[in-house]
Amino acid sequence: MSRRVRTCALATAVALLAATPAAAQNVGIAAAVRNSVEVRPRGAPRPRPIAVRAPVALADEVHTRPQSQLQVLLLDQSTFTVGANAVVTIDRFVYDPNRGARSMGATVTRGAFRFMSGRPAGVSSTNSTIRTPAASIGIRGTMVDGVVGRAAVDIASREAGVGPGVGGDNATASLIVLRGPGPLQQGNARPGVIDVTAAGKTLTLDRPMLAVYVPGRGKPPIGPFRISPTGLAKLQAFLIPLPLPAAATALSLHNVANPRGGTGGGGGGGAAGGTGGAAGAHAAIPSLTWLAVLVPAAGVAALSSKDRPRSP
Amino acid sequence: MASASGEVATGMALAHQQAASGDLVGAASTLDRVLIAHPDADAARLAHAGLLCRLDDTDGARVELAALAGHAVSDAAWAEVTSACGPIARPEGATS
Repeated sequence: MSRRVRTCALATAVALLAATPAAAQNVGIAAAVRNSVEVRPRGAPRPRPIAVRAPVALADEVHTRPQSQLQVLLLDQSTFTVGANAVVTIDRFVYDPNRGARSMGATVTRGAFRFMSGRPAGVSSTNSTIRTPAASIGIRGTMVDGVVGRAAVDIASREAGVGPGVGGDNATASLIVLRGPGPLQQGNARPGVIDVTAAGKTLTLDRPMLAVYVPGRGKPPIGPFRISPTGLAKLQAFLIPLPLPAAATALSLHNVANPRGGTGGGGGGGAAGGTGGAAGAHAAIPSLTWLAVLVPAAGVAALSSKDRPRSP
Repeated sequence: MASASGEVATGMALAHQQAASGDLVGAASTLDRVLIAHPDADAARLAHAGLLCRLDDTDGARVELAALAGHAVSDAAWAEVTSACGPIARPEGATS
C-alpha cells in the first residue's frame, strides 16, 4: 500500500474514532458496479446511483436491484461484495496500519453478500462483524458468503443438513457459508474461521463449505452442515454474474429472491417477468449442467466505464 | 487496485502479481471485480477457479467451471486449472 493511501487510511481511522454523527467518512470505493446500484447516505431522503470508483462512506446504505452487484474495496484492502436485491450498510470501520489494527462492522438487511478479508502489510489483528436480522457473524480473517431473506429460505430448504419442514422467515432468515481459506490453502493467509451467533447460541465454522442456517429472528442456528454444490451455486449466482451463454438459457433465480420484480426502490430488473420455478426444477439434473438452470436470466450489463450494455 | 481491475487484462495481471506474492485472497477479490464487470471473461473465470482451488475451496472452483459449460477452454488454460486443482472435471461441453 502506498504511503499516501496508508496516510489516508490512518486519517480516516483517527477521524472515525472521534467521529460525529454528521461526519460521513469514506471507508472505501465502489470498485466494481454492475447494473443498478444506489447508495443512500445517512440522513439523505433517497438513494442516488453510484458509479465505479465513487467513494463509499460509513453508514451509507447500499441498495442493489435485480441482477446487480457492487464490490466495495475497503481502505484495508478487504472487499465487501453486495449481491442482487440487497440492502447493506457498513456501519463501523477502523483501520490503523501503524498499530496493526482494523475493525469492520456491516449490517446486511437483505440479499447476498461476500466479505473477503484483506491482507495489508503489518496488520494482523482483525475484529470484524457482519450482522443480519437473525444472526451475528464474527469473522477471523476469512472469506465468507451469506444471504438474507427468501433466497436463504429457498436454498436452505433443499439442504440435507437443514432437514425437511424447517421453513423460515422470508424477511430475516439467514444462510452463512465459510468459503475459506481452508487448512490446505497454498497462500500465506490464515485459515478462515467464523462464529455465527443467533438466539444466544454460537456455532463455529472452520472448514470451507461449512454453513449455518438461521430460520429467522430469535431462532437458534442450524448446523454446521456442508452446503451442497447446488446450494453454493445458487448463492454464488447472486454475487458473481455468469457468462452469457449459460445465463441466456437459464431460468430465473431472480424470481426466487424478488417475486414482485423490484426492490422497493423502483424495480427495473430485466428478469422481473422471468419464468420462475427454478428452485424446484434443478434437483434431478446431474453433473455440471445443473448450474444452467440456477442462474439469473441474462441482463448482463456492467457499468464499468468502457463496457457496453447488453440487452436482457 | 480498482483501476487495474476495470479491464480484464490489467485485472488479471494484478491478480497474478497478488497470487505470486502469496496474497491469494486479494487475487480472488480482484478477479471477483473483473467478473462483476466482465462476466464473459472466461480466462478470468478459469483463473478464479484455479485460485479457489489454491485457497482450498474446490467446490467453489467447480461452480466457476460449471459456468463455462459449452465454452472454449484451451488445453493450456485447462492445464493451469488442473495444476492448481488436481484432477477435476472439465466443464461439460467445453471445447479446446
